[in-house]
Amino acid sequence: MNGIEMRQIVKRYEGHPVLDGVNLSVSPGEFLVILGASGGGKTTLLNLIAGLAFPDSGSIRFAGEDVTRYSPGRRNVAFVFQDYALYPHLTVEKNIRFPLENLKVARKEMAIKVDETLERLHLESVRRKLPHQLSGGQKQRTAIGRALVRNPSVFLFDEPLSNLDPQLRDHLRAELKQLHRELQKIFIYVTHDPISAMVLGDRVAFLSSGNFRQVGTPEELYHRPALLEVARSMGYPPVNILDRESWLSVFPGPVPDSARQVGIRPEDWIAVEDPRGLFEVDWIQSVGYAQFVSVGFLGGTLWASVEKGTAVRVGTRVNLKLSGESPMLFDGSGDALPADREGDQ
Amino acid sequence: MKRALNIFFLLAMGIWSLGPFVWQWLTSVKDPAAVSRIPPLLPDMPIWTNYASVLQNREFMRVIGNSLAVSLGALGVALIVGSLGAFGISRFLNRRKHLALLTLLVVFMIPPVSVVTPFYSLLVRLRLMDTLAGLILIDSVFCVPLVVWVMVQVFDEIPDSLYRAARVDGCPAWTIFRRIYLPLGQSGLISAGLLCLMFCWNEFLFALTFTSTYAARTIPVGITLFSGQFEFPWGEISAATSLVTFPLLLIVVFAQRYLVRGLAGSGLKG
Amino acid sequence: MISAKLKERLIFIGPLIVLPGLIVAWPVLEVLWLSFRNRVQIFHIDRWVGAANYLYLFGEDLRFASAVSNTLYFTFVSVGLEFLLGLGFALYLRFSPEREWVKGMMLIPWVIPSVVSARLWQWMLHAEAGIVNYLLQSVGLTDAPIPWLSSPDLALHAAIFADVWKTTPLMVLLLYAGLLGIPENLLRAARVDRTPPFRMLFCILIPQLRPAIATAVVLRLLDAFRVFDVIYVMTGGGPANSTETLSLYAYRTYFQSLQFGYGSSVVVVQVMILAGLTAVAYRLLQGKNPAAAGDGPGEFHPRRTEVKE
Repeated sequence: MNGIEMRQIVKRYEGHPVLDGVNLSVSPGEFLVILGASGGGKTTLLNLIAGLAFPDSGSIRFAGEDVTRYSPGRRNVAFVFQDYALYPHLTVEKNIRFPLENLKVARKEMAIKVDETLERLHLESVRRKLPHQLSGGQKQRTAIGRALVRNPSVFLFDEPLSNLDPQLRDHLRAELKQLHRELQKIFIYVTHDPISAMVLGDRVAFLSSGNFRQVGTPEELYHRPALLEVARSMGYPPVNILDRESWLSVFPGPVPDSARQVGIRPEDWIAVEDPRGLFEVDWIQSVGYAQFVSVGFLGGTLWASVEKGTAVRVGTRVNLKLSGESPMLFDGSGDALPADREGDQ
Repeated sequence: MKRALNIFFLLAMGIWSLGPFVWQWLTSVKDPAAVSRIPPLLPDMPIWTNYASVLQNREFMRVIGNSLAVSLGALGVALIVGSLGAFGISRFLNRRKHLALLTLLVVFMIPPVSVVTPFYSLLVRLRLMDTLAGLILIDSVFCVPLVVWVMVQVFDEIPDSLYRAARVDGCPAWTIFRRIYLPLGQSGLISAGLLCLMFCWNEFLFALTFTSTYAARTIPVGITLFSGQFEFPWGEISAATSLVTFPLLLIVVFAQRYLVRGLAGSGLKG
Repeated sequence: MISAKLKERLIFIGPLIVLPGLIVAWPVLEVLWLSFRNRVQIFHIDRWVGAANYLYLFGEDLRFASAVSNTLYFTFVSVGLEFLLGLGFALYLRFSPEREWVKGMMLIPWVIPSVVSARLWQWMLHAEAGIVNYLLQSVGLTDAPIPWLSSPDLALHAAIFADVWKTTPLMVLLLYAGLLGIPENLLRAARVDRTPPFRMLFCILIPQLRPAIATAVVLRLLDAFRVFDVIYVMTGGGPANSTETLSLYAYRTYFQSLQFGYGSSVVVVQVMILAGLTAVAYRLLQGKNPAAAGDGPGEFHPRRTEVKE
């Protein structure tokens, strides 16, 4: 195994576990996104991989070697921070040279490596600028360059794209993906933003209450969530969740006995105009490429999509019709029913 | 109306802050006969004999040299010990940080007279009585907490991610301190340094007690001991005080920003 | 691993443990110990006397009692005046246009040695040749020169005045920084609500400023309570001990009467009063609940009025 292997990682803060027996393997060259709510242990996990903190128990192996108690310097990992953590008093060039100076690399070799990195990341033109003079993209590239120059085996990213304006964020995502393709290294990217997770990850690992709840491709998480919680965290407008009885009152039909709750994505539910329909539209929301309507139902709100060209307005009565996709079924504790989890490890 | 009020306020503030200095300076350029006689408020002709006699006074020059040596010496010690300590407190003490800062504040706020005798016996034992080194040691006891207070605020504002980034880059703490925290904390060091200089330059009680000759007496002691044979030579005293306050006025004009920042930052968040 | 971590930390914290740590801890213990002894070195007296020093201090020593009352009077009057003046200056600086050079000018008295400011005021308050008496006489406020420094009733006030002049800038600075910390939007909102100036001051600015006020006043209390330089230079504690403060009394007990034991008990009591005073002042100013420090506008706490005493 050439990638990263984590076994039974436990980490406690002030007595209560932040990570509770986490297992994870990442294969070489993979782009893995760890998705979870703030304070859910994501950053702790990243710190453990980087060696900025040590687990209370469990082991971490890089390419088979046990690095659990290695200091960060011995692990050859790179860390790109939320705010990029560029040294504000050093130029781009010196920021990139900084880690090499710690490794006591020969001066000549250092210059060559720095130049290579600058060239590779298209940063030669700004090599003598200070971080505050850079654009967002240049900052990201400098941060990655500082990591890259040491030729690390793993890149760790701590939500570097949050708090940016949407256009820049998309641009940086594209750049990041491109870099990953070129470098063919392990990228582990931590975020609370489901969209980043879906767009970037080869696989997404959903972390909640100290453990992974589901690990799979973005499509698997979206269409075959292992948990109600996973289903809820992804997609906009949010997934509709109905309990068994409500569901049956709308769609009489076969639902397995063990299913206590039923979930359906708004795009799989089409609102059709019908003067005698069960529902009344209270809000029409356009996201540009599609339109969604919300309807009141038993004191809650349901979301459905509208087919292009229909003249649905606020107040129109509609009926809801299932499109091809079958609904997601969950048992009483919020776990997906096994039938629905095929293809998911 | 508003303008007039503003001008009145400025004028009042100006007289309040600068008036005494103007009067001191006027006194310093009067001849001895005119000094103790008002009116005239203004000298007929400024004379510089007071300055001449002060500048020729070996003891006075010695005192200025001593003050410089003590201030710079204690400044050096305090900046080194204080910035190291501030880094340690800011980075390594999480829950005990407040306790550490509070303890240092207590040290800084101790009435000097309450520790003057043990310091006395300490200096006697170290054979540092009446020496510059002795005063440097004692002054640094009070300057170190000052530097720590200012620098902990400065270091706390440096994002944690910079520290972690440097750790991942393989830096030991010492390198992070020297290569990242010190350069980024430069303006804080200037603020802290100025406050230290002010403290040492103005410190009186210890300098008075721990010196017995002009080998180590500092400016405040010198000014206190400055007296003529018969009565107070006010003209010369004014010349002497004008001379020692002038550099301070310059510092305030040019470095006011640093003083304000150092003090405001360290005071408020406590 | 753990020892390496400890070593790394010791590089940074270690020096602090020696300086000021040990260099202060030892004297504090020594003073405590000495305060239970009678030590007069030149007569080779050095023996344990138990609480005798303290008993005499609280029972019979009238000079100590007067030093305590002088010190408290000095502290409260000068800090009170400084607070009022300081708040005025700070408000002016905050809400007037030209700031930089005014701030610099305002700071000047604070940076000069207190010995120098004492000499300055001693000269200006000189009974015959002082400019203060000259100005008062020429305006017609007084006929005869006022003996500022040689009258037991006036001397302490003269020292207070010199102290207020020198240390008000510090108060201004701390309050001004606090004022800068009040969010501009809060003031804008108040202006939009047409809050009259006095209500603005008492219901918005002062409550918001409370943490800064607490810090500034406590710092100044601590500093004023240990006053030494100004009084030593201006009056030397006289006339007739009317300006003798605790620091001065302790100093004279040490270095004029050479009673190291008794002097130590004076400073121990001084530090205890100081600690009590600080605790009370901080409680009153900050409020018992630290979260209350960030009170919203409009909440009026009667406790706040104590600030101005």
